[in-house]
Amino acid sequence: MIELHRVSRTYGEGATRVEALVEIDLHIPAGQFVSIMGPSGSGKSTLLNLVSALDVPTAGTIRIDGQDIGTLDDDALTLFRRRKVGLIFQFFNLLPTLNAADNVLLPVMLERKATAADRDRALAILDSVGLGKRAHHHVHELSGGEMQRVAIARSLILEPRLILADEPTGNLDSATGRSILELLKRTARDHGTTVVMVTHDRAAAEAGDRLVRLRDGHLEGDEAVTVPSVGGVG
Amino acid sequence: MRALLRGLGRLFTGALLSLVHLAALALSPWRIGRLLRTVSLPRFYEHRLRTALTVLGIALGVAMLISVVLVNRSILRSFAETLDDISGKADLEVTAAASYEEEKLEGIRGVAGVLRATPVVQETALLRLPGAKGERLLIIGVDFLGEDDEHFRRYDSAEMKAIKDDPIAFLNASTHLIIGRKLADRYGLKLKDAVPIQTPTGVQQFEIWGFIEDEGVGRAFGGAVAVMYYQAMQVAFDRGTRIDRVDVALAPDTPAEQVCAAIAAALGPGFEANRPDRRNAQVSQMLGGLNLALTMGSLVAILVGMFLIYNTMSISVVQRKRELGILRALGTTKRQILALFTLEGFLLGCVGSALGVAIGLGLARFMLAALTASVNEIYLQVAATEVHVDPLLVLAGFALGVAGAVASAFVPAREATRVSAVQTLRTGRFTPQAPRRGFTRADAGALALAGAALIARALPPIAGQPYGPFAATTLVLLSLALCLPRVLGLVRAILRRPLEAALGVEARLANDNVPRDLRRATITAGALMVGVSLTVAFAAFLGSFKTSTLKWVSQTVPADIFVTSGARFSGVKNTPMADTLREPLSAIPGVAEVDRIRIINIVYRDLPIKLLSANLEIFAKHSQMTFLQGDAETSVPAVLQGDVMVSENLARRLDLKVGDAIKLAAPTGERSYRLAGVILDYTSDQGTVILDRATMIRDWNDARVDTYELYLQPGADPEPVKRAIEEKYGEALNLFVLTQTEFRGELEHILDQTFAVMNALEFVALVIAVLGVVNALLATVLDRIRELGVLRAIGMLRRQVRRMVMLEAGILGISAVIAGIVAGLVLGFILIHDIFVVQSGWYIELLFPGVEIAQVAVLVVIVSTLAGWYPAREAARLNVSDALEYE
Ligand SMILES: Nc1ncnc2c1ncn2[C@@H]1O[C@H](COP(=O)(O)OP(=O)(O)OP(=O)(O)O)[C@@H](O)[C@H]1O
Ligand SMILES: [Mg+2]
Repeated sequence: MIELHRVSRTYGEGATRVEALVEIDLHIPAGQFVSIMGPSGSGKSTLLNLVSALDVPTAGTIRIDGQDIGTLDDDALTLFRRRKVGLIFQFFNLLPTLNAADNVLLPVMLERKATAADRDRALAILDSVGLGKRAHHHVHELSGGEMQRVAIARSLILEPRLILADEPTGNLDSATGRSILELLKRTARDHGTTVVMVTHDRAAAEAGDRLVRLRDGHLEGDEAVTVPSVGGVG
Repeated sequence: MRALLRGLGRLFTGALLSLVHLAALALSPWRIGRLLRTVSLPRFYEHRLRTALTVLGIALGVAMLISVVLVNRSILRSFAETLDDISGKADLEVTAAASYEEEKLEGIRGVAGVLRATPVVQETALLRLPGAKGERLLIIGVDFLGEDDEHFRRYDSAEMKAIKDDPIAFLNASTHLIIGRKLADRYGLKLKDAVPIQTPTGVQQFEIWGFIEDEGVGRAFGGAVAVMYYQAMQVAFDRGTRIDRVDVALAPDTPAEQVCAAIAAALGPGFEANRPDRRNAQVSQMLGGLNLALTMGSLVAILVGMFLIYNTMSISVVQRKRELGILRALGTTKRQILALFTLEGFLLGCVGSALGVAIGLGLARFMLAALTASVNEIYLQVAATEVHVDPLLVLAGFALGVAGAVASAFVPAREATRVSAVQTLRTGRFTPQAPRRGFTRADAGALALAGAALIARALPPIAGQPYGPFAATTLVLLSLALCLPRVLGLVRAILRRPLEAALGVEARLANDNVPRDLRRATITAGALMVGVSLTVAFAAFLGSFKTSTLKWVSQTVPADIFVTSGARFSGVKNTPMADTLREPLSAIPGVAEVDRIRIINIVYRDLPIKLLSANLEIFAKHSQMTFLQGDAETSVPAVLQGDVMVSENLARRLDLKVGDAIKLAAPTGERSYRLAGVILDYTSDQGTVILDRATMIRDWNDARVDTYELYLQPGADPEPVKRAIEEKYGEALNLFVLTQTEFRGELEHILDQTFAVMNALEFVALVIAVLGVVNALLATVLDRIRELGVLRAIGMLRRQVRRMVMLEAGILGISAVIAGIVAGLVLGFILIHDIFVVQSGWYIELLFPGVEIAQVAVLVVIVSTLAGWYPAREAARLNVSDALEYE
């Protein structure tokens, strides 16, 4: 599904040059739930941005579904993100002028005119993330956890093969965080979606099947998660 | 090419910023100056484009104001200077309503206290030299052989001295003259050369007997000047024995008022002795309407400029909330913040106004040529070629620009200081404002302003100027500006579904984005609205005026062919012709009847009006006069018996009624005419008195003809007649032969030319407003960087982003257009019903300028959408991963 071959990303020139990622080789098969951990500044977000085609590597190739995304132009990359990737950020994921349901529908509306069937599906997904009753609420009327759920629902609406989440629970209390992770895990399993999630939290990381560790732009560790279920932690 | 443009743009913004920087450095000895340098300057650099736009907005406003006023002053000044060069040393000038008989000179000389008196004849005539495209020459006829004349004028001319010693040869012909050195040099003219000049009897060859250096008289009228012996000039220009005025010098210690009264008494009613500068006042009065309209226009330009300044300043506050919070947390006092922001306004104001002064001076040079042309066409002959820079005026324009900038910085600055430190440090989450329902404060304000406008409209004129209605126009604009949030809401509600259906979700997002910063949206749309309303109002006015005038021409002046000399129109530029063409013109096949029109400038009750004569029998037969008082059956026979009619505007201005006595100072003495009728007439915006040709010849000794009006036999084709006239007399008399259609076209052209300055003003207002749109949308994009990052991340294409931002600009444009049309129609109504009627005495019907409204609507919506292009491009080019990091 995802193949990184000797991928490097450097920022800046001369004295201010930062090697955020150095010759990373990584293979993630379809359907896997991968957690990425590492200290602050180790290159986690950089890696995620490269995989979601928000950024381009300074060296190396990235293949997703066999497609070398380095060869695509901006429009193609944008369509790739829209159709193949679901993105969830740490905070401020949503458009404040839209209500929850319309936020979920946004990727569809960017693609085409939303039909009644699309709306029904958006409501169904919102229902499945436990927000059936909040569908017509405006963003400012939602709590932080509810906003993240809406973001998850949005990432699912076009049934992407890949979900990329950068610290989706970073701004939430632990109970809320746990339920969000549970949700991610469940959807990944149900739809066979590949998930790559960046986190600072060891417990959160154990929601996945595999744990990749980064330090100073290098792969420091790559292991299968042995703890059988999130429920077992804590 | 693009790189070059971009380079120039960089250079320009760079230069502006350096100026701002320098100004800031100048303040560095003070504490606030240091704050300015550490806090404000980096901001200015970071948002260099916005800073440049703000400076440019102020600059344009100031430039417009300065250039318009400078141009007006320069025209007046050039007139006054010529006057000064020609008769600067005269204590008094003796004038009648028009020219008068030379014999009056002796009467003047006999008045006690008059030390010297000398006659003056004056003409502006067309030079017919090859290459002198329409250039005019001021010819003064003086008695330079008499002793008195040299007391009044300084001639720096060696030849003239020689002539004085031995005048016989010079006086031998009526075509000998002395010309200005400047003019002679320009055309390479030498002594004894022949100069062809247009005269009432055709082109005559004048002989050069000398030159006057560029001093005194030689400097008058921009150097395009010639001097003749006055009696020779009377012959050459078919003036009989009439002179235009007598210059008078007083004996020492004689009170001027006393002599004035004595002269008036000695010469009889109608004659006046005045100080020469009195004529300046008359010229001001004549140009008054033009003047005031221009000044109002530039005030509007500055108003729009201030919108822009205010816009930028308030945007800057919004964007710096966090920074302000930090400043406050670090112990900066409220007062310091207030001072800082006001100072920023001051700084931008200074740089902008300085730039505005520079642009204004350049613009004035450019406008002077255009405006002089139309002034020469309708008002009076001036040779205004140089912009007279009045330092005080420039300073006033500068100060106004700075004051505007400071004022529009102060309001948002005060707001900034009200924000508490804690509140600003928290990153605000967006809370959509619930749409205001019911009666808001803005509604109350709008109503109050509308009420005030109604009252101001009804205020009587002060010193003949409609200041009340002028104020009403501003009040109307402000009132409608307060209604803009409602208009925006309405437009958004109407456009929401159709736009989304047609253009997709980006249209909907754009629509939703508009009210997120309602104040910014209102101000941006407000500036646009002002621009649109000016365009609509001027179009309404000009369209209505043109229609009324053209309708009047076709009804009242229905001649098939108009023949004039020296200019296409009988106005101030044409040369009156001797009365020699009636017979030959009547003999041309197809011609049924020939009327002769003579128009002279007279002064009546201090108004510089026109006295128009026609053969009223012929005139009344063809024309359908519109009578406001009297009627064709009784008035026309009365005028044939020696009565007069007056134009509608003169009657309205002076409150004249049929039966009143109109006393005019004719060259033969004062005449009293009975008023027999009031008719619609657009000959002069000051007023017109109409009499029969026989009366004119009898009382005014003037048989010359300005226009021959030809009526053709039914069905005759005007073209062959026109060609026949041109072939036979065209060259010698420099004739302009216009058919009715051409005549109307020419009239329209002159009106357009006169009001071209208005078009320039509305254009600048629109440009400033569009700059405001660019500015506001740039701010919008900056406000929403993170949001744009999210949209791009989840799959919004660059072109969708571009479309979203441009549509937001378009929606602002549409709202502004709607409010602007309403405001413009109200303004047009006030302009016609309350302002123009006072300034000209004409009452015209307001026509709905449908075509112009459609044009400006389409144009403004397109242009404001395009104004979103640059911010849209910036938004589309955002680096997505950086934008997501942005906070
Ligand atoms: N746009 C940029 N310009 C310059 N340097 C950058 C940029 N983005 C990231 N970096 C640098 O690259 C390195 C990796 O950054 P990255 O954001 O990937 O870290 P991270 O692991 O996500 O950290 P955190 O846990 O704090 O989010 C850091 O040293 C950072 O300073
Ligand atoms: Mg990170």
